[in-house]
Amino acid sequence: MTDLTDVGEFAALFDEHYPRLHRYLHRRVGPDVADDLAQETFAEAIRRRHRYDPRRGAPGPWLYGISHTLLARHRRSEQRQLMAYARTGVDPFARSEDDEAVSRADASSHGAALARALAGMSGRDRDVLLLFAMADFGYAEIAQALSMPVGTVRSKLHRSRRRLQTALGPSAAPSASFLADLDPFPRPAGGTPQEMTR
Amino acid sequence: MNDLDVLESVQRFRADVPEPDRDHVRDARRAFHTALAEANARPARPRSRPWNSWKVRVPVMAGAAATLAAALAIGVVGIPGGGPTVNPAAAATLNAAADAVADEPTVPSLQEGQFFYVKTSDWQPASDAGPDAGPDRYQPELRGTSERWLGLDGTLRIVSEAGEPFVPTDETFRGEPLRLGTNVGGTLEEIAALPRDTQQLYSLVEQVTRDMDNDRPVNVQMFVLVRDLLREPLLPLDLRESLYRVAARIPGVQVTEGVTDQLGRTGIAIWMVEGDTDLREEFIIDPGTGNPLAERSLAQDGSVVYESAIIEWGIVDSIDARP
Repeated sequence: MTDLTDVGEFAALFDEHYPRLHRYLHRRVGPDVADDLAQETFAEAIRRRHRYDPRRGAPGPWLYGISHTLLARHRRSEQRQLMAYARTGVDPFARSEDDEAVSRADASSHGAALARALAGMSGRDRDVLLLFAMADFGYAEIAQALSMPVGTVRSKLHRSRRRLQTALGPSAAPSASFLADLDPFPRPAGGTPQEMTR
Repeated sequence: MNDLDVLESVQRFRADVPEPDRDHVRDARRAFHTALAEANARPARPRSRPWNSWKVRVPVMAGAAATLAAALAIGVVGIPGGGPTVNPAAAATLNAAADAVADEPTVPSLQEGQFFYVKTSDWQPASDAGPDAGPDRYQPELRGTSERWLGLDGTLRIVSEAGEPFVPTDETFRGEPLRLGTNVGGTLEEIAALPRDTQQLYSLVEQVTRDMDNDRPVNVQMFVLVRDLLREPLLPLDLRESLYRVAARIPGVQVTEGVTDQLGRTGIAIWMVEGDTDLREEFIIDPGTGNPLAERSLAQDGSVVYESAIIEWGIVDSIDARP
């Protein structure tokens, strides 16, 4: 069981999570803000390390939870850059002229429409959806990270999927395989059965 | 576009963004280790416990409780400025549940060396038969069963079978004192210190809710707080009784009688329109005893999408024993 008061274990937490957390933040708010947020996340984690309770879940979701508290300060800028992407068809975070060309080409397909749909969501709905789709979190992990009941996670994902279907194309009945894929039973390690079974 | 395409679209969004390069990670790691070394040179701050704030507020709330009691005596309470009101039928059902709890025999308290035992099962949708399928649209199927043992010393053992196909796990944790209730769970001492007087408990729940300062309406958050405790099968009976009476006074609480859970047990569903979700969250209780039976999520057409059920619980004398 992870003990973050142990220096070695806490250092291992950095090595395991920093690169992926940075990439996740970069995809949401761009490289410059991601640099700041990733650093602030671990600085805050250091301050809170004695309050981490492994019985309530694994350290990864705890870490992403801290990150999302910090990310909340950047909701409006995230929304602005998504709307800019939607309007122009060019991703403001494109790293090169080649990337911009790809973005323009993509504008006629899904990129700009998806950006608009994401911009139209509430911040919390966006957090739930992107933790699920970008960070590969399960329901229990999202619930732990965002301090919300698993039932609320399911509801928000349910609503977000419906909205995106409307925004991105004609709706169709969800496939059975999709439902099986998206409803992994939460991992038992680090979570209570109450959190697991809701 | 079906759900799978929607998910893939989001996964592809800015998928070309790489992880930071080695130089970046090296510099960040260096800064992290410097900060960690500095922090370790300072004394650690004690861990805060969420229910400490509840204990502090109890004496402060005495005066407010008296004021609120005058308003509650009217029998129908609304939120200041308008909004949902107390449903008299729901209030009657919840007070009857409280009466049923009051009639239950007292359960001995947990002794040293003993364990609380709880067994739960979980159902998730197997498929979506479409909007014309009615109540059987999602056909929930069993996805896992879990048993846990909790001891006073903080020992927690979880034995479960979950996933598709079922994967067995067996883990034991040690550390923090036993805590009951989800999200704002308290230790046995903190739970014992909560007021059992309905007026005082209602005022306390309302004050803690207002201090949370989140986006939810006060009545919704109060209900969520109360439900987080009521769903704990090992809650002291006198507190369970009081919480049902508190729930009876929260504006907007609704009940549906005669619902059947996945195990075929019939109970009463307690729920509220939460406003920010597509699914309705129902908490199902046995009206004869006031015990929690299950929780489920319903789609707007009334079809059951997810469910979890409490199968068995009690106090046992060893970590491998069952009632």
